[in-house]
Amino acid sequence: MSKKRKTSKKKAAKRKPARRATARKTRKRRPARAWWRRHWILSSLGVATIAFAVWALWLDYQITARFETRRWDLPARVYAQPLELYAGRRLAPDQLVLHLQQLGYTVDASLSGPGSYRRDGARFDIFRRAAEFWDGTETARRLTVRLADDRVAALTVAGRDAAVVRLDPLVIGSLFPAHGEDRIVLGPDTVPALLADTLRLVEDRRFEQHHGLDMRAIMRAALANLRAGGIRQGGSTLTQQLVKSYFLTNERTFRRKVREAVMAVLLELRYDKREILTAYVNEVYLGQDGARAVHGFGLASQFYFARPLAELDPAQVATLVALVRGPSFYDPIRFADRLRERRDRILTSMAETGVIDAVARDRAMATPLAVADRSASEAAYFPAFVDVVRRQLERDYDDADLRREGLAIHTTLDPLAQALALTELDAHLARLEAAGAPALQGAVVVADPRVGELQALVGGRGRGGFNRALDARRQVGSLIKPIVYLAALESGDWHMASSIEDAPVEIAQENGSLWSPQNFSGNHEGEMPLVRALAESVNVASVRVGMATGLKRIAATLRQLGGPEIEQPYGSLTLGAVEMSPVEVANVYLSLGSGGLRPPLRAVREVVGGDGNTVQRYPLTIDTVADGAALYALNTALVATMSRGTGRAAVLPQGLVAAGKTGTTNDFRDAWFAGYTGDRLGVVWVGTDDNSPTGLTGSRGALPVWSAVIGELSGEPLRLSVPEGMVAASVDYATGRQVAARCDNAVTLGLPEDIRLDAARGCGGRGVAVRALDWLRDRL
Amino acid sequence: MTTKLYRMLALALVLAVCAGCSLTQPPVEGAPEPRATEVPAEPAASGTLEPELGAVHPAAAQFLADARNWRKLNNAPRAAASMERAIRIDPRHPEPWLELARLRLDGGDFSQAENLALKARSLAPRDSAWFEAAESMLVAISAQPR
Repeated sequence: MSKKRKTSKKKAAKRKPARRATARKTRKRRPARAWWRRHWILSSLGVATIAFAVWALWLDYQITARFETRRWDLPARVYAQPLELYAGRRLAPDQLVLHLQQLGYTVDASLSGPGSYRRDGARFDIFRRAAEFWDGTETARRLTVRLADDRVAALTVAGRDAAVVRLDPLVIGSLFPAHGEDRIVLGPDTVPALLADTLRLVEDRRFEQHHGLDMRAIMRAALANLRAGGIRQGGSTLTQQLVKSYFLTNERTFRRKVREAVMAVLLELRYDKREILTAYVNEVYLGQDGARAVHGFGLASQFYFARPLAELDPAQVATLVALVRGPSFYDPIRFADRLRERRDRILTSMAETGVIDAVARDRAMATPLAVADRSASEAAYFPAFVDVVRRQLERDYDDADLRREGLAIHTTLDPLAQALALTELDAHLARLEAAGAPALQGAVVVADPRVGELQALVGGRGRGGFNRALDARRQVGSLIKPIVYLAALESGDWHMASSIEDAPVEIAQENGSLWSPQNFSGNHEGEMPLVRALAESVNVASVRVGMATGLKRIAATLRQLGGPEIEQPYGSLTLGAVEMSPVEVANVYLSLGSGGLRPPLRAVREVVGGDGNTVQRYPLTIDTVADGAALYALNTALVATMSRGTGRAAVLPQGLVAAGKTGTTNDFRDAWFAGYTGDRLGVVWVGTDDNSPTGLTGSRGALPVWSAVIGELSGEPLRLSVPEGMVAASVDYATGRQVAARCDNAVTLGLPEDIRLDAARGCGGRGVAVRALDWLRDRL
Repeated sequence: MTTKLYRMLALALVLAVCAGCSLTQPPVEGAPEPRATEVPAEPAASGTLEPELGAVHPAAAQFLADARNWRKLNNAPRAAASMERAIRIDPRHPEPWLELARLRLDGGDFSQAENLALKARSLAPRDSAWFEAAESMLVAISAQPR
């Protein structure tokens, strides 16, 4: 191409001097006119042809390059963990219904195809969709699940008893290029015939016959435009529309039209109809979702109907085809009537041309649009979690590969946990604001402490935006205290029944000034056992424990548990003057909740390459992070915190033993709660983005969200097995003396077996006093 | 010598129990009773109960059987994945952790093998075969030159 251009230039260069020479000669005698002058029409035609050919070659190069790269430019798809069903698994009927809704399953009494289910009380018949996993394909199957007492009681697959079965995984988002185009790319064989027929019918009836341009349609449009006195109607073929969407411009100039037309013809010369139609189906713009442009019918189907394209009925297919003309003009929410009218017109012509029969038409026209409620697709789109996944994978993958190679990323997200965390946070913040709190924000992290899997991550209210769970680093306040006490226990100088003086203290700072920490209540209680100082989050007593243990030691313990590095710890560290994000807090509490053998927090299980074969696994591993005996002792005290201390307000199902800690920072800027049961760990932060005071304690601001989420999700109480060298002892909560387990003021504490405590007489005199205190505090 | 014997005994017991539950007992019929771990035997707040440990969950046992096959075929990633699915179903049972530890030991990853065996041991009642098996694996690992 460039070669041709050069030769033509050379020719022109040669001719120029010749021309001057001729001009000189004309003065002397009548010249023989140059050939090109005599045949100027022919010559200009030749030049024009060459120029056109060069231009066409250039266009051909552009359009082919675009077609080829777009064909393979596949965003990575991110999946939630699949719901695994097996006998004994906790699952309430409502949860199963919600999950089936998230997956876009429809209620269908006749169970006519994949993606449908029917319910009869606690019995569910589900026609599961086929699904690709890294370890194989699950074919579409009919399952029956019987639930009892909020657990799976029985399971059959295709009529046979089965031990375990998984549903198809929910798509929770995708990693798409920086220009914000998201797509679910279909191959030629997966474009449903109904869609192909309807598209040809509505957009380009002569698609199979023309060569890129449809002259009849152009004439018809031109006539219509002449009558209307301006461009009103386009005669674009599907091929032209495809070209147009490749270059994303809306200018309606004649030049652009010609360019498009030439490109369309070129495209038809190179590719067959099937390839072009497939590219069109994958490319066409069908809507906008915030910063995300919805391209292609695959994604549009998920976006508008929350189900795969293959499962759409004629009404839904007609709706999507109706949107092609103008997704904002026919916006399903703002202009539902307009869209419905166009859909019905399309359905009518579908029936006229035999794409569907009259019965199907009548049924389709009777169905509502059913896209106005976008909550289904919203409920399945979790940008904050996808953000974590992207950051985790950026360590191992090139950014371009992540966004273009069509990876399938299988994550640990539990859609039920995520939806619940989102709902509970929103509801509680609204309640607090109604009660006079300023405009609040929050973050929630939920994980399974047994395997370290991150199950839910809420980065704030609403969708997208600033991801507070990852990026809001705030002071943690009293959430640090368990780490202070753990460091104290590990030093061997303390146990949880040791006595500490809650009396004013002054600490010399590096700069020579004196720091005198204050108690939240403003009072000092004198001698108390460590368990009570921790459970009631008594500041001054905790500072004393921390200073005696050593700040360096506390900083080292925090680091060991997965917290940030603190090079120069100050006394205020013992009260939580250290900034951490909710995810960092979750990591540290995961260390506490896993008994010292911690599975690191993970968000990804497997990544499957675009070819479907290469697999990158993120295996389950275990780190040893803390001394099991010290952790056991700490955990018994954190259980007491939930039953008697600052976590007492938690409303949990009977028998669901938990360990946890509140955190409140200076001037009530941050409200925290972090804690765990046997199978769920949760961290909740509530505050404001500008770090202004909220007037909320951890107990009032964050704990209700925590207990609503964990109380619903968790089915396993925290069980602490007694490590070697330790014993479980009944200790008086107020005095630290040994008492009988039946006493009201007894708490069970893990103590080194060689410790001998003073025994209290009976239940100890202060039992009644403690109860009276509890009673009073509950009412304040 | 004794540790080896213990190990074999433990493994035999584990296999016997598993084989029993996956073959003789249809996993679904009559819905296996949720294990003792599912319901605390005593009222709240003590948090220090040792649950009675039975056989691994039938669904987890199925994945462990898969995992053993993958291991025989020298496909460590698939074996690990099946073991992890077993762990996710029955994470309080030492057996799948023990299997994963063994797989890591085979692969020469001694530090993971050790940590996983510690995990298995922390979950096993002290008088159980799993405890013994974890203990002997830890002994074997400590004998490895690193």
